[in-house]
Amino acid sequence: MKKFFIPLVFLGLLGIMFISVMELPAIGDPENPSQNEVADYYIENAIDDTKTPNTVTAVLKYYRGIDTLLEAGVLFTSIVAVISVLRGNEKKRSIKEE
Amino acid sequence: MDDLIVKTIIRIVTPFIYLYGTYIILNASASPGGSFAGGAIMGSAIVLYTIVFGLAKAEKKVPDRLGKLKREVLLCFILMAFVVVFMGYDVLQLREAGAYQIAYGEKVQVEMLSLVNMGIAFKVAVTLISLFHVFIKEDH
Amino acid sequence: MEFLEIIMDRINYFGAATLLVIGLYTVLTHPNLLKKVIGLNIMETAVFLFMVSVGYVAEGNAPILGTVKEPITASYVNPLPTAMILTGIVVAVSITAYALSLIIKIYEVYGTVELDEILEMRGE
Repeated sequence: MKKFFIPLVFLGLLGIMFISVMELPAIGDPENPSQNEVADYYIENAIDDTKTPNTVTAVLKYYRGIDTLLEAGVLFTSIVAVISVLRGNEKKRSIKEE
Repeated sequence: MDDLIVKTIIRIVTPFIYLYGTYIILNASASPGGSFAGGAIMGSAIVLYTIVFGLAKAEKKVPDRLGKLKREVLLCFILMAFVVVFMGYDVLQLREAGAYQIAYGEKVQVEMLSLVNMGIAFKVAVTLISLFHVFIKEDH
Repeated sequence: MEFLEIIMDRINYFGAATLLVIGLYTVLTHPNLLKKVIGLNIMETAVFLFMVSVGYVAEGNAPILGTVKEPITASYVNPLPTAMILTGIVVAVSITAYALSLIIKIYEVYGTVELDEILEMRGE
């Protein structure tokens, strides 16, 4: 009973997600709610504002620079966390072995 | 990995991977790619070198002083923070002052040596290399 | 026929939903911790696929303008979700590295990465 119960739950979840996906607007429609004035502003004014023809780099570097900055913080935190988990108490261990 | 063919091929190919990564970082503002992709390519070159030639030789190329230099690295990140803030600060006010207005048909002077691009690429490459070295050091 | 057309217009969303359920199934039912991390990565991929599909415009160019300024006539793909996804990929890499380092520590202490065996050891 338990063997069939868990896949049934996930199939039900998949069905619910499919039904909700059917209500979304179609992919690639230019009239989508996601194609709002923000994207138009970025494409029209990227060259004037930032002298950067690559719009994705313009968004990353200028319009949302603080986002990229905090992402550098995330990467730094991950490096420090991995190093401190893997060899945080290396000194203590070597002292004990002596 | 003690294989003569793999060692020779990697020794030949690695400079070209560096060159490709440098090209992508320098042209990040104008062409497809961007600084994230360039940093990932330059990091993966060193990861490839480490896999083939071993950790001892790779650490001569990239010294593993990150554990001892934590405070200095944090200062570097804060410096990059101020660079990003000052270069991206208040775009609209710059525009009202007429800083960057370009007419139709005019050629755009794309910035090649952008400090922020190089900072982002450096950050991604350093993260990849140091994570890989830390993980591979656990085996020994 | 109309039903089939509705499905074909949203095929990326269906793929994203399927990937999300596969990842959730892997995370919740496998006792191996490494496979749980793999399932987490599959779920992240599903979210990235969904968000990139939201920004797509049919027959739109890549959002890279030329080096000579011209009036905008062609339609371009929305650049905002792409930039967001770049941030998301970086965060996913950090989370994976941290989870793997925790798994290495768990293996050093318990000698196994199977979750049910670890729970048995802790229960005794």
